[in-house]
Amino acid sequence: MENKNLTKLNSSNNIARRSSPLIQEIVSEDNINDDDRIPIYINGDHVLIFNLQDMKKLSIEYGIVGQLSGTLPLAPQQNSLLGFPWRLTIYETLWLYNKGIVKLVLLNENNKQLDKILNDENYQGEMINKLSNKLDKWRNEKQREIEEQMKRLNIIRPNKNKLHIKSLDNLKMKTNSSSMTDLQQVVEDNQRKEKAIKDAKLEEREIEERSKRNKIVFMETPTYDEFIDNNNDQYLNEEQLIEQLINKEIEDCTINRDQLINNYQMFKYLKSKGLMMLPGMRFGGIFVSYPGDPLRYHAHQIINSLDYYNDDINLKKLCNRGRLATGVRKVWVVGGIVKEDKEDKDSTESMKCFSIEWAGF
Amino acid sequence: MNIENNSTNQNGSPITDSTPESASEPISESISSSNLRYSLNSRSSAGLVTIDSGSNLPSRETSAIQKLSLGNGNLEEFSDDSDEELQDWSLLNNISKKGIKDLEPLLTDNDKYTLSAYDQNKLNKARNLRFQALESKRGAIVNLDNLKASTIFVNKDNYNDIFMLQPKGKFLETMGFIDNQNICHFGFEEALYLVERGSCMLKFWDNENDSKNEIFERMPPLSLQAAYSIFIKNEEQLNQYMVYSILKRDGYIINRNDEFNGIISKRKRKLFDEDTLFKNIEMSRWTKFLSSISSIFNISFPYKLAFSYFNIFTYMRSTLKPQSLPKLKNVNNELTLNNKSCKEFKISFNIWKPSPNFKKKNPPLPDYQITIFKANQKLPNYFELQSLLERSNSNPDTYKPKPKVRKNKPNKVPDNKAKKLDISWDYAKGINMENLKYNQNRITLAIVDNITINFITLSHCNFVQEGPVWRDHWVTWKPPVKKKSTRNNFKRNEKFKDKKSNEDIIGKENPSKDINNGDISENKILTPVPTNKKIESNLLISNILNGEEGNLITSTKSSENKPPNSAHF
Repeated sequence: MENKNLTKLNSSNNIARRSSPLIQEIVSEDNINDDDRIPIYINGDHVLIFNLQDMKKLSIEYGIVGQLSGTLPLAPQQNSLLGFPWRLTIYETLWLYNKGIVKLVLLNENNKQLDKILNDENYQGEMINKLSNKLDKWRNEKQREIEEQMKRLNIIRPNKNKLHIKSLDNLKMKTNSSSMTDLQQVVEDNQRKEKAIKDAKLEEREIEERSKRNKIVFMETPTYDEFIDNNNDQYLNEEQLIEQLINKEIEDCTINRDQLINNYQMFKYLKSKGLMMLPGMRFGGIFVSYPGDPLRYHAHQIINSLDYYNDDINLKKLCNRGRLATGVRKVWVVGGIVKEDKEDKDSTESMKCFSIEWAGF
Repeated sequence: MNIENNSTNQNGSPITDSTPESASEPISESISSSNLRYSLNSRSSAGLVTIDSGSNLPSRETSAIQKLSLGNGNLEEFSDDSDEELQDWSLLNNISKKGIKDLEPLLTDNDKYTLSAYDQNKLNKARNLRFQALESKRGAIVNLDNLKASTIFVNKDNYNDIFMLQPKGKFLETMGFIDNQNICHFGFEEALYLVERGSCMLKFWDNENDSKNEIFERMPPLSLQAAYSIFIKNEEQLNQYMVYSILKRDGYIINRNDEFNGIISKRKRKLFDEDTLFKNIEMSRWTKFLSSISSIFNISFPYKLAFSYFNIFTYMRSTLKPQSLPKLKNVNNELTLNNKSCKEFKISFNIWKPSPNFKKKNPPLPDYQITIFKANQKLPNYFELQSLLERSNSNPDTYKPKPKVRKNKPNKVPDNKAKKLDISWDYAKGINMENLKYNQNRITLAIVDNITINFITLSHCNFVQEGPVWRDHWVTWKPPVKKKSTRNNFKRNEKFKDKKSNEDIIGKENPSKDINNGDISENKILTPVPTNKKIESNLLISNILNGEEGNLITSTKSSENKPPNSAHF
């Protein structure tokens, strides 16, 4: 299924964007129409996703794992289940961009949405209206809910008022039918007066209560804004954004650009095999890979990538990683890119992986 | 050992989108249709019990109310439907249970790229539960007349100016800073946390134009996305926020350190201070007399006349003292060199275990102090670490047992008690492991890899400072007799065990020949890793200063699973 998707993506648009040779490895595949792509927002050096629909699409259709990192409003005092934002790793971002699934949008503190909120009067009015409608809707829902609950708890007996009115009517009928004496009239008048006063009081209280109730509302903080298109000339274009992402990732760190590219190739290769990857700090790899959605399965492999021709696996590391991985019921996988012709830059590349398991004798 | 080529294929399995169902129809957003979906799935896999997720659905409003009662405490009349609330929680807990995970997907026989109905069903269920939880609205029940009590404003011209005009709520006990005009100022991480949690809403504020403020106030609150884009400008800040929010969710009290904004403070104390280093070594008069005799007549110390181990050890200490001093000077010189290759890392946060007596205006010494590192960053070198440790100032009592424990007998006079030897009463000067492991100079490294965070605590300790350690009854030691297991006895045995294990460690470094000047021991404290996997690491990094250069020797030690935090969440 995924393969089908990919071929569809590849065939749709053949204009490759290759201005910078540095990111050629990453921006090598073709992009599809801008409109179909999911916008993801890059805030400096990280990618956070706030939109549930986008998340569903990326995780279900494209097998992106991501990681939720925010407080879940349902259960805010725990750390095992988290909520938005959904954070993508740099490799996931690169892969998605590479496949033409997403479009990168710069999101910084001067974005258009904030500008709109601050300065656009029409938009402000619109938002105020929307809010009041929303609050009304919420009030109605709440009212209905409360009534239903009260009915369930037998606090309000349905039709009670009607019965009351009926009895009054009956009374009236009776009084009408009977011969009217002065006394009766006086009694009736008194009753009427009392009733009027009662009704007025009731009404007053009801209005008061309603206004009190109307003041109490559920104020929602929305998770995401409508699509913000920030890409124009004065901002960075997508390639520059990718470049920026990579530079920030390797800045001040122990990995360099080549290693990052190697890691990405590894990610891409494993992704094509249908595995799902999460960051691998827990087991000392770059990734840990899962046979399916990490929601449901345990990880199987700890992944590292190397430069196939220049890096040494290192025998001690081999023992160490093999033992460690086996100890946690995983396999250590290490791989690198193999070229058909080592000297030729454009020769076809493939990934060669080795999986190491501690066997024991 | 097996080395297989390309064995990843073995486990290679399709991504779960491959079933026709999910490809054609992405998991439905609305509750009702997701219900439908479950029933569809259950039909396809016979014999499976379906859970009607609809009835258990988290009701958004109730959750919001629950939140409000945490924050504001009014509106309790709504919270009577707590039964439903409980159901939600168990529903939520279901996902996190580890038993729900399988080793690998069951694939259908004829097509190895299709998940079996069983797996697909379970996967959809798990996903739907997650999506539903994510869908729940964030926000609070508020009174429109009193909106300002739960609104955080951010100055539209200066996003660092974050404040609350009518501060109200329990969270103020530990968060924010209230100035003399009763305006509460927040750091970006506090504001973002409160917004993300749904306790507060975020709105713009215009300092110059009041009419605009009115409009802002009537507008709906800013979205979480907008809040992130306002407050978080780079990954450093994001990592700071990650650490902040994880600890906050776990119930710790966490505030900015003075160095949060990057201004590195002066060091609080020297790690190797001559005055404090030897304060524990006081010889008895008799030993002084003997040593003076030995130096006057230029003969060796009359050990046989010393009468006790204490006297012998203290004497030995005193002979070591002059040898170690010049080395100390070397160490200090190097530190003042201000080596340019050394980078100063800042201490970002102070952390306290949850305590009802906490006063944010007059906080006690923090239990932990945190510096934040990216997972790909290099480990700071020895001098950088030392600088961090010198600037740190944590509460030395954090790990100390509660004062219920019986008072230790004074260390000095074991002489006359040597005859009444009672193994259950340990009168000798054993090493105080608490002092060694956890003194004031303690720093916790938070290592952030995307959203996984590991916490590692490094602390400085001086073996020299602890003075001589011995046990007079080593010769006659017998295993302690087991008594009735009253609570006290149990504790004492525990203590005893501790000391035994200490001896194991100390034994390697023969106390009589101890030339160690200092030691950095390290041990892991808390690992609130979001996905429930806690990483255990327990290292003992000991630094032996040989001559002028510091060597870092790392060795692993089996972890003693002491839960670091007896925090109530």
